[in-house]
Amino acid sequence: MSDITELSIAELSRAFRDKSLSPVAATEAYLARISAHNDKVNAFVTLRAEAALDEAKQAEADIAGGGWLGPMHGIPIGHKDLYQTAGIRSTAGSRLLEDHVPTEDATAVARLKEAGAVLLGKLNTHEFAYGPTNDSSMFGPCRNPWDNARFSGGSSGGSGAAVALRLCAGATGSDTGGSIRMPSACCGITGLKPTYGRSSRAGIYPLCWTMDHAGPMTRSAEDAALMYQPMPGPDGRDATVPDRPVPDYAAALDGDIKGLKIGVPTHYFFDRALPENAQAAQDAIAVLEGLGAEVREVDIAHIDYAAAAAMVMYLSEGTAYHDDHIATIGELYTDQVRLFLELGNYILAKDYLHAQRYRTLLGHAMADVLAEVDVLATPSLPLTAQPLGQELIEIRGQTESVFGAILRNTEPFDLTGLPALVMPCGIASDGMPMSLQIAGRPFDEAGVLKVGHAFQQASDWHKRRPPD
Amino acid sequence: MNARSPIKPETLQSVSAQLAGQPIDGEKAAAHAEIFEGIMQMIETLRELPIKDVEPAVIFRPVERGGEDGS
Repeated sequence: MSDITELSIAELSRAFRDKSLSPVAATEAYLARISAHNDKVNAFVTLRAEAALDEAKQAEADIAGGGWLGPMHGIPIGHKDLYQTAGIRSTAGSRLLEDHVPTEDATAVARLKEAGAVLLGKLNTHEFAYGPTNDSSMFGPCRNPWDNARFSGGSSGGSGAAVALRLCAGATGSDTGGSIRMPSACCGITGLKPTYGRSSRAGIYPLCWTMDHAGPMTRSAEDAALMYQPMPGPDGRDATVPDRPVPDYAAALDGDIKGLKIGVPTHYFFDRALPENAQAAQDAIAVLEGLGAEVREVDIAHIDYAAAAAMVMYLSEGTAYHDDHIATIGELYTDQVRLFLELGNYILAKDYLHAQRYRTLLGHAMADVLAEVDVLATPSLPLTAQPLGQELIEIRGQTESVFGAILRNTEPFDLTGLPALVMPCGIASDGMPMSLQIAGRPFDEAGVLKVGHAFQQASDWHKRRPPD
Repeated sequence: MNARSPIKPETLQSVSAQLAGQPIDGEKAAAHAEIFEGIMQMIETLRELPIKDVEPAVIFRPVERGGEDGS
């Protein structure tokens, strides 16, 4: 096989099962790529080569002995360093946890382990997930594999860069304002933010308890379906996870979207995006229309207030979680994260509750629209990955902060907890990936994955890769 | 809604020290005031929303031993 690391999770899994390829060979291939290319992007921050090879050998033996555990068995992956891993350093990208080795796995880690995944190592993150660029981390910035002078997007930047650069087959991420979807969009991969509460957040360092989500980052919707399959369901550790049936996500990927109603909210999501990003999303929606979907414009009431509400959530809940450490060892935080944490001291309780009331209001507005259409389609981001350190950007004549702009299209679905999938849909004139976002009804991960898979069956943007 | 006075560094210094228990110096307070004034203007828009009869999205859950209490 010429390049094992080009194979998708689905292809690797089939090859492992029919024994045309060994998990050991796949793990060795990924370790070789990490050795050759990780320095360019600074994605992996902790590597466990020997342990990964041991796990791969075990997977090979188990599969040979008839003990195949499912599609993730033997698949080499990475975990965002926000996820706690028993016996493996878990820093959240912060000097506060520089030498922290947990004794217990996060639920998502444990479930992917039970599914037989091989863990290559831990991946860079914006410190405590508190930023959308991954340029603030004790390990230094994570760089974009398409242009190393640009940010990877964050906070799950290491996951985005590693998957795009073929340093692992898939990775975990977490999403509070868009931290799975922003790096996925910036790096040209596919990312799934599930419904709030669909999968446990236990063992993942929190940013905002009421907005944190855990999900997969992969090269395709099909791979996202396979990697996410073991993650949902109650664990007795996260009270937000309801005991409801978990569908077979891969089974939903039949490619048939005839008659599917797609809502296109042009206000806010398109009219405040760079024209190229908006056009790429429109072109992708036209592809879906060509597959038989019905497209109509929709308007989401109160959407313009999303950024204000999200800001209150970050500042209030983030500061509450870190309150003890800001006061005592605040100097250990990176400057940007410390500033945000300190600013949270000035938020009034009434504004926090106004923001939570707004979330109810927005939830109803989204539900009204999703009663008329099956999914919403938007540009994932209103811009492409920008140069590291760039603070401002001009979009349609308005100068605004890069932080504010990059979060705009993703955070409404964190505020409302709706599932959302992002996937590449073009390359901009600056050479960077552009991305389409599909959001759906609560707990309809299968629905957004189905749309994503249909698009990827009809296009090849998800197969484009950054140069070595 | 009452008109609000602009955020002053002295106010933030006082809040930091007396309410948050995290004293900051004048230079940092001035920097915070400049940034926070912009944030406050954005946040204030939420107070104009029709949310009088809307309950916050946070939901209280009684703790049950042996169950999922989020601890």
